[in-house]
Amino acid sequence: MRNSIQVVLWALVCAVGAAAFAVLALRRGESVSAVWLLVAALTTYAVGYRFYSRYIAVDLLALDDGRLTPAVRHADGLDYVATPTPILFGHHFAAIAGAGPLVGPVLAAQMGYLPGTLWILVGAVLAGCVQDFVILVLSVRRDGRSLGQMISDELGRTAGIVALIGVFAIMVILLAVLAMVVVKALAQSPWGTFAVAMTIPIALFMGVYLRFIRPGRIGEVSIIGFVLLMLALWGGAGVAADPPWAELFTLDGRTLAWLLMGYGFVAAVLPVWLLLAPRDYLSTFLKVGTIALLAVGIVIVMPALHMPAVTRFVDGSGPVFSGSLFPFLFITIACGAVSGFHALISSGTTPKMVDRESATRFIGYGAMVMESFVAIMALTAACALEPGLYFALNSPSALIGGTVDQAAQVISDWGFTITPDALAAAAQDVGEKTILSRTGGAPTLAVGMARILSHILGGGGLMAFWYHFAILFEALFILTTIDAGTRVARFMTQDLLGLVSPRLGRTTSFAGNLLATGICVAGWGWFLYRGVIDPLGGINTLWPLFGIANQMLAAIALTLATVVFAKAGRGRSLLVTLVPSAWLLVCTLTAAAEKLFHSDPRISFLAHAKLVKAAIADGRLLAPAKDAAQMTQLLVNDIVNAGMCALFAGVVIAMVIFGLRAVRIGIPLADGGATATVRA
Amino acid sequence: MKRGSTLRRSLSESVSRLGFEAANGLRILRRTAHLMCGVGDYDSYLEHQRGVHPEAPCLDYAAFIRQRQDARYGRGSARCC
Repeated sequence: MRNSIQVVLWALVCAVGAAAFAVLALRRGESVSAVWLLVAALTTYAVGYRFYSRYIAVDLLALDDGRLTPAVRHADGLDYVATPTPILFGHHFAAIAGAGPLVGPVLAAQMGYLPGTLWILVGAVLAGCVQDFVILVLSVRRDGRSLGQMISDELGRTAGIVALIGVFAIMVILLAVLAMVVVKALAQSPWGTFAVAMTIPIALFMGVYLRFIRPGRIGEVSIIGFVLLMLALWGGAGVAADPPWAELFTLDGRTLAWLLMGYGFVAAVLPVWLLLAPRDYLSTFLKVGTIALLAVGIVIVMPALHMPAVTRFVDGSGPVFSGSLFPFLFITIACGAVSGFHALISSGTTPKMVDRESATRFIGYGAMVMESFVAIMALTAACALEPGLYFALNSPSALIGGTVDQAAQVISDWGFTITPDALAAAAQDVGEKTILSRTGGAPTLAVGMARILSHILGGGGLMAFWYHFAILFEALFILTTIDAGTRVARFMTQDLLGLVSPRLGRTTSFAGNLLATGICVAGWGWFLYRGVIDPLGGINTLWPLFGIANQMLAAIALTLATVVFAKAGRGRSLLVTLVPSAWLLVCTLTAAAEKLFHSDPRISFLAHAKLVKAAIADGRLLAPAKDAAQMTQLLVNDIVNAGMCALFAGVVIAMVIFGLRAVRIGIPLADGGATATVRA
Repeated sequence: MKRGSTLRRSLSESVSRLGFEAANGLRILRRTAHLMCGVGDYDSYLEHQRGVHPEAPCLDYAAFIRQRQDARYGRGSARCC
């Protein structure tokens, strides 16, 4: 009886979900309510979690609570602590939530809301959640070992080293692209720049307070920090309104890029308690709180989606990113559907705190469901804007010009009618001089969030406040990623330097610190600076490169999992990781090949290099170059970008070969569980 | 008279029960918030130390936080994009 009620209930869920998808796909009208998007998402997640994750838990992983977890076996009260599932879920979600799922879907909206929605949902349920879940379990069964160590154990030492080099390269691109998002959001915006700059003294104050004044009071200091942050945001409005102050904080992209590099360098060298830790506390709470606020906002307001289901830019001619739907939509969305970085988190601190194997399903699969929902919210916020406004925000100035008249003309010609007055009013609403070409996703999301949140709190009068609040929220946790990431990269570099000179490899050596930090900052700073001066806006070049790198890491993680299950002799259930792994390989390798060998210079680095070379031979100049030296610089950019792309492709191909070899020559399983009933 | 006191007792029981639940909820919330930024549960640490190494000295709360900060950020922490 109970069983048949369940069957009816789930059949109903499926029917409602199918109806929502039908409305999304088939609607013919001005707009469609976001209700349908939310219903489609929630039913997909419910069915995926209830049925697919259970199949994985039972058939592929054979979760067994009789098998003790590292938190129990190695309990030390510090790193290894058996933690109740809901608490650990919070930890895991906070660790995987970042800027990626907020930015990727916004950029992908140029193809309409439908392609993005489908991939965010299907990708999450069949690939992203699977990766996070499976890697978490593998790590739990290997004493909480990291992804790199597991690759080394299961695929061989060389494979481990190749993977480390890959991770380092991804790190550099990640830091560059995130810094780029901040630069684009803050350029020419004194309000935003002031508020974000104030987070530094606020964090320093919190650090000192937490260390010396009231040691250990994290909650207390975070509340004080939040109040100061809101004061800074309020002060930013005053700064923007006062000409001498506004001038001081009105910075162009280049200056901001240099400031960010300087900041990254200093933050990575300072003691962690002074700047990094307090900033992390503040950004973690603000991040989780704002995501919750946005969810409430969307559910209450239920905005209409004005973006068409599918736009003509699926053909690859879009202004936001170049390249056709396959493979570039998948590369662009990245984190909201499947993110390789999560494999690092799933094999980081979380596996050391899991109290029993069955908890991994909710934590691994469940947290990624939530992350994917964040991506759906970002897509909703972007698609709720008028398409004309969306393209004005996201198209580079090289395409739409620098004035509202030009922009309105160009964008209306694309078929997304908008008036110059509407563009000017949109800027005024959010307290900015202009909203043209604010690429990078963050400003678009901020405008979308401001409209939704001002609906529920404060009305139109608070629109500018909410816009800058959203910018502050994104910039704050991106800056935390830049501090923490530069630090990680610094230690990776020092390990490598140690191979050359043991003295430089010593992490206590001050000279070694400075050198390694300098190398890392120079690495991401180079890509950032080249992106900032790129007339196509930089995001255009950097985001696809980042997407390829991120999806490649996911392909590596899923390949590792597939190899492990193959070695353990799993049958058909092996497809659970094999299929997404193969899909990601096809996607990343196709994208990398197009970035290298496509004939369109807007897509391919090498085709663009050829164009530049021809221009140099003829003595012509191409924008943004103003002299011959800058033309050479353009050529160098293309070659470096192409090299990076080739490196990513090389790493992923090598990993597949290592994987096949590991299965063929039978590198033994490193699960240490010869006595377990089910191995892997 | 008797009924009144039973009512009072059950009322005060529910109130104290509610208070207990609320305090427990707050504790869980606080623990979750702390763990979100990498600071584990101090009580669990104390319990572990007393149970397993009763002879060893325990870190005080401030030292515990310092230890956790260094463990989380000392070598940098991989961040998600």
